[in-house]
Amino acid sequence: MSKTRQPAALIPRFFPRRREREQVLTPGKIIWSRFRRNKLAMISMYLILAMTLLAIFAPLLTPYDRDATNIMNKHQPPSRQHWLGTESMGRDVLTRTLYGGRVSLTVGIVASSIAVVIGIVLGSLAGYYGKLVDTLIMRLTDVVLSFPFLALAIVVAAILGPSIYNTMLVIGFLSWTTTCRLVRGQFLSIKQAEYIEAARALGIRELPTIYRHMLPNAFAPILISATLLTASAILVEAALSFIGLGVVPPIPSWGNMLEPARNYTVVKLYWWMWLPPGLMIFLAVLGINLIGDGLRDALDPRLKR
Amino acid sequence: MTASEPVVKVENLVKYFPVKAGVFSRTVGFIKAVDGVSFNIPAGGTYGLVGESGCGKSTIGRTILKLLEPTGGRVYFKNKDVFALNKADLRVLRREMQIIFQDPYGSLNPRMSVGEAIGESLSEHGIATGKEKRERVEHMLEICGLAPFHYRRFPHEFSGGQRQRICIARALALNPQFLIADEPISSLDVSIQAQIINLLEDLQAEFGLTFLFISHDLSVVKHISDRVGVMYLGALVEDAPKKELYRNPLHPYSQALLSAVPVMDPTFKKERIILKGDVPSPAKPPTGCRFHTRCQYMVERCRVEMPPLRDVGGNHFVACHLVEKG
Repeated sequence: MSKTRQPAALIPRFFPRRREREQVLTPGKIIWSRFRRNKLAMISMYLILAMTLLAIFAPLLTPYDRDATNIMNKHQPPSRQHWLGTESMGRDVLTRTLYGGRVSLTVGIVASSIAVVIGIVLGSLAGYYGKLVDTLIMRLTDVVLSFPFLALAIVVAAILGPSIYNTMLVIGFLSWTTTCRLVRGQFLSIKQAEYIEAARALGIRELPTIYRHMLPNAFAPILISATLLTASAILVEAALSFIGLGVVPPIPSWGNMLEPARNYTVVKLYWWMWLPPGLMIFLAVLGINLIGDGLRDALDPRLKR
Repeated sequence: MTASEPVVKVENLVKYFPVKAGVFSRTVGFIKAVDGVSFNIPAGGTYGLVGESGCGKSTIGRTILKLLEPTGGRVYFKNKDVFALNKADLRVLRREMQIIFQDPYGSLNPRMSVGEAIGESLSEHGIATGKEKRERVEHMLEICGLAPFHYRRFPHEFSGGQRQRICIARALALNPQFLIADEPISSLDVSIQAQIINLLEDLQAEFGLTFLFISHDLSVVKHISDRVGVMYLGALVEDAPKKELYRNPLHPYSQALLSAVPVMDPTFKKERIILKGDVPSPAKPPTGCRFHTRCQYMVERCRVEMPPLRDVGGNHFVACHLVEKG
C-alpha cells in the first residue's frame, strides 16, 4: 500500500485551540432575532404581555371588590370613582374587566394546552408508527372533527353544569384535531430525514428519538398552532359564556360580561358595560393571532435571514 | 484475499422493495434493489462498492446495518448473524458498526448542538456521561479536525466538509470497528473531498477500522480500496482486488465504466466504450445476464442463462459467460 498517510496528530488544525464563552447562534436565537424584526408581532406581544400583567395584578390595581354589588349605584357612567362605570348590579366594570382577563386568558391557555398535548401525543404516535395506529388515530380525528361543537358544548354544560373547568375541558377535547394532523404530517416527513436514520444506526431508542430528534423539528408548526388555538379558545369561551354555557356569573369573564348586551337597551344606553370586555376580546384575539403570524414567518425555514 | 478472517461476511443479500398500487395498496411487484450479493471484508480492509446511481449500492449499506429490513440472505459481523439478532442485541452490536451518509446537511439534526449530537450515543449506550462524555466528544472533535470549542455550536454554522467531519466524529464516538461510508464525499467540493478521504484514511490507520466504501467515483475508490466490487442492477458483476480490477477489468460493464474515468494526461487518447441505451428497470430486470441488453459482446446464451459470479483465478470474480477461466 503506497498511500501517503499522516499520523492523526498531524492533521492540519484549521482552528486555534481555544475555549471561551463565545456567542453561539442557537436556532432559538435566530428565530428570536427574526421575530423581533416584525413590528406588528412585537407590538402584539407587548400588548398581550400587558394584558397578562394587568390580569395577574388585578387585586393591586383596583380598590373595588370583584363581586361587591351595590344596587343603588347601578348603571353609573364612567366617572372618577368608576373609570369604566358600573353595571346593572352596581359592580365596577373596570375591576370586572381586569378579573375577567384572568378567566379568559386562563381558559384560552389551558384549553389550548390540553388540545396541543393531546394533538402532539396522538399525532406523533400516528406519524411515527404509521399503519394500523395511524389509521385508528386518523379515523378518531375524523370523528371528533365531525362533532357539532356547540351542540356538544350544550350537552356537556347540561350534564356537568357550566363552569370554568368544564369550558376548558370541552374546548380542549374538541380542538386537538388540527394539531394532531399537523404533527402527524410533520412526523411523516421528518421520519424520512437522514438524521433519523443516523439515530437508528447509532442505536438511539425510539422514545428518545421521538422527543430529541423528531419533536424539536416539528416544534415550529406546533408552536404556531398553539398560539392560534389559544386565540380561538378565547373566542369560543366568550361565545359559550355569552350564551350562558361557559363561565357562570358572578365569576366574570369577558364573554359573560357581554351577556347583558343581549338586551337592546343596554347596547343603546350603557356602552361602558359591553364595550370594554368586547374590546379586550378583540384585542386579545387579534394580538395572539398576530404573534402567531409573526412566529410563522420567523420559523419558516424558507425565509432565510 | 488476505489471510485474516473476514470481519464482515455478506452472503446472498437480497432486498426487494414492494411496489404498491390501487386503493387497497396491493403489492403488484417488487423493485429488486439488491438481488443476491455476496462479498467479504477482511479486518482492517477497505471494500469499495461502485456502480451507477440506482444500482443498489446504498441499499446494500443500509441493509447490512439492518436500517432496512432485508428480504433474504445473511450478514455476519465477526461471525455473528446480524439479521438473527433480537432488538436488544442488535442495539449492542450497533456500537461496532456505523455508517456515514452522503448528505451532511440532511444527516445532522438542525436543532441539536454538535456536542449533543456526537455525545448522544455515548449516554444512550451508557458509556459515558457528564464531564467524561464532554471530554470524549471534544477529543473526537479534535481527531476529526475540528476544535473543542465547536461543542456548543449548531450544524447550520458549519460548511459541508465540516459537517461531514461532525458526522464522522458522531459515527466514531462509539469506537466502532466497521464503518460504512455511503458516498461520503459526493456532495462535497472537490478540494474538500480530498480532506475527507485523507481523514478517513488516517482514522482507519489509527483505529484499525474496516471500511465498506460506497461510491460512484472510480478514482476515489481506486485510491482508498483494497478490493472493489462492481455493481449493476442490484448484483455484483465483478469482484476483484483493486489493482487487478483497474489493470484488467474483465466484465464488459466494468470495462465501460473504467473507460469513462478521465486520465490526467492530455496526450493520452483512450478508447471510450459508450454504452447503448438505459439501465433497465430494477422492477423488471432482464432475463439471463442483467447486462445483455447493453452489452456489445452479447451472444444468445446471455439472453437465457444467468452467469454466476465465478473465480477466474487470482481472486478475481466475474459474472460473464464470455470470460474464460485462466
